[in-house]
Amino acid sequence: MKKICALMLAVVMAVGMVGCGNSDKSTAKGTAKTTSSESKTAKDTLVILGAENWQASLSPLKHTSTMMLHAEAIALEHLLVMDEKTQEPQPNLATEWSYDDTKTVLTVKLREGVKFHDGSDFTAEDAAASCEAYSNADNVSGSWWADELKCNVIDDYTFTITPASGKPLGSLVNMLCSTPMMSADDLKDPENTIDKKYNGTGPYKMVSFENDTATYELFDDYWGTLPKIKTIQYKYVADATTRLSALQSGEADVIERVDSDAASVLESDKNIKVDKFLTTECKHLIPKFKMKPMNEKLVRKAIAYAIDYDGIVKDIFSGYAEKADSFISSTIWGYEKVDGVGEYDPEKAAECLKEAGYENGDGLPELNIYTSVGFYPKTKEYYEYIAACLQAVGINCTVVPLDTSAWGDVLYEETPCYMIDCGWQPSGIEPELKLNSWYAAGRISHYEPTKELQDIMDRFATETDSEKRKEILQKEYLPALAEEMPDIPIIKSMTIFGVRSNVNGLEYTSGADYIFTNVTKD
Amino acid sequence: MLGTVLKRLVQGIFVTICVIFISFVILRMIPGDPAKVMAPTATPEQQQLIRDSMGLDKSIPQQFKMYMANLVKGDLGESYFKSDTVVNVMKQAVPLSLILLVSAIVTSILLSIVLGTVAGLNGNSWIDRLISSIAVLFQSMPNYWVSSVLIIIFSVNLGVLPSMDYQGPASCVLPTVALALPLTAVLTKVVRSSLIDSYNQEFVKVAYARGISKVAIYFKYALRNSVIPFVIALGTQLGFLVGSIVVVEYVFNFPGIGYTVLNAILRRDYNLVQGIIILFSVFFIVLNIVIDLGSIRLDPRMRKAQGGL
Repeated sequence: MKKICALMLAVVMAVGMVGCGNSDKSTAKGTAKTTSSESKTAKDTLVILGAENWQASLSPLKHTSTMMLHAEAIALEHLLVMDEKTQEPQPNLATEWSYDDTKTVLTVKLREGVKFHDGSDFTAEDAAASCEAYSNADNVSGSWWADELKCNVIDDYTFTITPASGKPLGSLVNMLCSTPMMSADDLKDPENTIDKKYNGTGPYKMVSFENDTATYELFDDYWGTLPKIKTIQYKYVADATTRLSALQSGEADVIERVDSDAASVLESDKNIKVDKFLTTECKHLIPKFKMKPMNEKLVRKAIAYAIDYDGIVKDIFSGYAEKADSFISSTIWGYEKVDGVGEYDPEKAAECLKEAGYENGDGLPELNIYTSVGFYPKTKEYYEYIAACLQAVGINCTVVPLDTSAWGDVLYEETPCYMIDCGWQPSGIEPELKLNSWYAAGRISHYEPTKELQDIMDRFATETDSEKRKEILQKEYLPALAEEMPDIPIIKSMTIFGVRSNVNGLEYTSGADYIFTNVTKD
Repeated sequence: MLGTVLKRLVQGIFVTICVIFISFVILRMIPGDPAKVMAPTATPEQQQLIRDSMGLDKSIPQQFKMYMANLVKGDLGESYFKSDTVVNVMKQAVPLSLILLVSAIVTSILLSIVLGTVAGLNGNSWIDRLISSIAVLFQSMPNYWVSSVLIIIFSVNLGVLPSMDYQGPASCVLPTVALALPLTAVLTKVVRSSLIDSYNQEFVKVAYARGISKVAIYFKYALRNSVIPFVIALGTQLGFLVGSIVVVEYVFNFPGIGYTVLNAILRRDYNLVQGIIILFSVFFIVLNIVIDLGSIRLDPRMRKAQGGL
């Protein structure tokens, strides 16, 4: 029997060595097999595997999902495009834009000769309808906006935009960098058009959508320079290991949301490169204000001081993240570090607890943190780490992992738990995409801004001068948030993409949208 | 025979209705609101509109009544996320899963008969021990692990087979192997033990004494006697196989019924989950009836017990 066991072990090891050995060796020995060093996708095709599920509708009006934003950015364009180095909007479908003296009317001049993928002309009527629909509070996309927009068409290529409140809207020009342009006709009949298929003006048109795969092909009538890659397949693959294997076997060219453990594996593979960069996303621990004592500022501050942010970045993310030191990511327009955010100081935490009347945690109920599993990378791991940090200063806390749907079910509820995790990845670098969605509405925390903070928010929302806006943001808004601590920023997310090394020139925006202009494949 | 079939069918219909009711209630009681999954950042008013359009604003008994009324008309409703009817979604996914199931079953039957026979005819020899040990090994390896190892070996390192998706027959090879291995292991053990048992029976010894050839004894007496436990074991294992297909299809991103149901559960696509549960329960009930009737047909003792059918 021992001999048989030894024999079996030898067979298993032999199979393992043959299978798991370096594939290049088999090539060197002259075998004709395709190895992982060869891409199996066509040279003029880019296969991208996304990690987030498709929504029921493709309409940009009905979601704020990151993967959907990536998918629609392949086909749909915006009026302006943000130069992320200078943080200044640049012409795109709009060539000129200017405010009137009251700063409430923005006149926009459009590029002529632009066509939609269905062959129709892109005109001011389409741009006006898109702006109104995208900012409409009745649509999901309306949650990005601080105000609705009303538009007036002047001629085929000129229209005006006015905030519905009649007040200036400081974020308006930046927001036009994130507002997708759709056909006015499609917006009138969404069920048969934009719900099912993108019809934009971009260099790629969507040709099919089946089996969780969107296929795009070059749009010959594109107004600008056409990219070199002819076809893009954007596919949802649920399992992270399957995405990883597909990249390694050459069946995919790009995979999204590689976690930090897998990144180190990929970095040692010469056929693969790892693109990593900070995005617009921050991850937050959000107190539920209707659950006492989370409405107490000192308790929230004690929690913020008790967390070892550097430890999370180093031990959980292996350096593939940065600690959050503000309420917005450093890629966001006007970012500045704020005192009191991302500061690990257990002594200050103990002082805050004592001042709040909970010395060493005495008198506090057992707190809990609801966290999603399988949506954001490593949430369960870093919230267990956070719970241990809180325990160290006397705050008893348990972590309750939930599947994504169950977590989504309670995210916006008032009293399901004491704290909940959430991240936010704005589609552009305009800070209102985050600040307005989170702090003006307070829909996750149910936080109601103080009068002072509300005043700052209003001034920030209505200031159209870029320098003055920045000053309000940096000197007043962010410090006021740090004083209130309506939530606790934990990390600035790093997006990690795995890319086959024969793919050149792939670039990304800080919202992690793809820029295909210079992409080629060897 | 007809009476037995009718009795089994009535039992089957009753069980199916119970399954529909229980799964209907459980699905709606677990946390996770489809409206919030569909539009997580929508306002409560917008989410309520979505709920209204799905009929989720009504009480569970009302929803169940509506569902059953539509079901008797053959309408399983619409998938919330696929923008298509549940029937159409299942029509696309079922054939792909059937390819996997049938190929896994055929592979397992053939392999297990060969391996089980070799082991059974060489009882207690080294080859018997080797085959039995391999069978235990394959039976104890979880599907997801086997699937991952197969992908690493044949897709990533050797690069000979696709690791995901359905792009033609080659895409079925690895999922089929992942499904077939544990089934082959169980069936091999059944064939082996029943053959050893048969060869120890008096009627086989008498057949040897009568000078009947070894081949004839194997096919006419020993193997034939193994058919009943083999069919029963196969029937029982098919249930596990259908369960395994969910995991295997998920790992291979294979767009069959297992992958579809898992995605539907994660997205709380009630109608689609419900439709697939009905499909699975009907499959199991029909399968059980077929196995029962097959056993009665094959086993004279059971035929006698059923009143001489």
